[in-house]
Amino acid sequence: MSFRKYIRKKFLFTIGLTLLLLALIAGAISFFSQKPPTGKIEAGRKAIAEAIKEEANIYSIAELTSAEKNWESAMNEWKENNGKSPIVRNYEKTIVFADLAIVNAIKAKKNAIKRKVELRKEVEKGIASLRVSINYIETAKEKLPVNHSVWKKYTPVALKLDEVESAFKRNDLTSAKKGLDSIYSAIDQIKKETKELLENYFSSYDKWIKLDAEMRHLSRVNNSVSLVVEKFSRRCIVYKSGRKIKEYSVELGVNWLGDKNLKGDRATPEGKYSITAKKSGRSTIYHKALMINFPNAEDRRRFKTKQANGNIPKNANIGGLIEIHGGGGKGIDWTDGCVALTNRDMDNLYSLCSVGTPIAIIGSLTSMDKIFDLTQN
Amino acid sequence: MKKIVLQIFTVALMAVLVIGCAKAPKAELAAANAAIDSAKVYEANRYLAPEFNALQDSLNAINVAVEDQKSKMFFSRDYKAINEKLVVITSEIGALKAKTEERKAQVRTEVQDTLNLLNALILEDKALLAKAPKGKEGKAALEAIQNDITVLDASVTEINTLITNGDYLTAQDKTTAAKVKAEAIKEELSVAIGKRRR
Repeated sequence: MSFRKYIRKKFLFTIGLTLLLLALIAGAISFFSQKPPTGKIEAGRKAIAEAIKEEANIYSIAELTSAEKNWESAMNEWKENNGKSPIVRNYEKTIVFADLAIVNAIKAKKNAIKRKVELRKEVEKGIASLRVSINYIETAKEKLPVNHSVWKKYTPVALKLDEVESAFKRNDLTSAKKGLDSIYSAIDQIKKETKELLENYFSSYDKWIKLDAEMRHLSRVNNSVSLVVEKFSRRCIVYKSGRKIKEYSVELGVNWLGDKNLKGDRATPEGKYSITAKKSGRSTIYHKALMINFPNAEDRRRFKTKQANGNIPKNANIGGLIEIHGGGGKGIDWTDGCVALTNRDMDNLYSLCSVGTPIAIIGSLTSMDKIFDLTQN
Repeated sequence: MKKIVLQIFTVALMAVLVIGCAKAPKAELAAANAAIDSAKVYEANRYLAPEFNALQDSLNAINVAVEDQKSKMFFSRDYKAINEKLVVITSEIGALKAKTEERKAQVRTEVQDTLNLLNALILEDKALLAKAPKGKEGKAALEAIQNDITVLDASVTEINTLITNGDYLTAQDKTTAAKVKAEAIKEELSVAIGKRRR
């Protein structure tokens, strides 16, 4: 063997051996080094994706944020290890973080599903409950004087409730909940105020029923006509010989809710009166009119008491000239305290009444609960 | 001897080339991440949440795949499939941005249209209010209606602020509710005016 051939053989052998050794080393490193935590990291990613699919980013923010942070930490650990030599790589921390990410993501998903259902129910219930309150206020509002503060307070909250419903319909539960929270107390307060106002007014209900019975009784024993003006339902009932023979729609004073206190308060008085004069032609500007004896003795006594208590100014006047007259049919309460009928109805009523005909002006013949039950139904 | 040296050199060169080609797609990944961040700025996560979330997850999967390749021995790394996916995802993010803009424009147009209707209704309400029966009969009722119109005017101001802030969905809720009220006022006033004419 020539020297050249010997050298070539030796060279080839060295190269081959080096390559074999390198391959063995690489194989050993690959075999003995820690396996990458791809499976765990992937499981964490999938768990987070599933949680987001269930809107955990909206309904379980804290848990999802933890899961995402854990997963990010796992990734950072992994990246850091990948920068090291395969022999010294240690994925323990990566696996711990990935496991935490999985646990928190599963928790976030579960919470999101649960909270979404709960929130949906809560918002749905809230809307339904506020809708009942709003309907109550609306019903009451329609029956209250148009200048009452409830009218002013009603519109902004009713609009807001509509907005809440709109957000709920497009599945934006968090906005809907936020909106609900902003109107709960306002609606409750308006409802409370309205209810108290009406309860206070309806505290005279028994008295009204008695007055109605008295009018019916008088018409029976005298075999004549007597009238009952029922403010709440805006009607004038005509009794004859103990039976209701007619009923007319009426319009009242702008501030009709409650008794008349003083001149100029534009309230229609409540109590037992009688017709003192019949006016027609030039003696009235309202087609025909039936003057009543307001103020009566009871009105004067009440006026004096209120004046003495300081509820009415000392120089105030009790007022008068309360009539049942024509010119009505405007669809709103507009008089200064009188009771207005359409001219045609006034013609009929005028012909039925005479001077001395008893008349009771009362709040309502239907109890407050019944009025709202009927309206709600 | 020369031939052997040449062979070794060729093998070494090929190895270097292979290693050189199997580099992690850092720049592409950074570009994709920047794209998803800008999609968020466009509010894709609000207007097209499911699509946005799916792309965000795909990008996360790419990150995992990259690190998985990095965990392997340098000579066995392969980023070809990852690169291909990155190209697709980046273009999908671009498309999502465009789609988001389209969706936002659509919602904005819807809100603006409803707002225009609302403004027109409010103007009609005000005109009808001026024509409504006055005098002591209607004064209190007209004041109540005027109060409602004032509430609607305040709503319009709020809606405009929401539109300026890009919160079109909330603006739409508000506009729809206010429009219903404005229509109710119009009806109420028309009836009142009609009654007077009769």
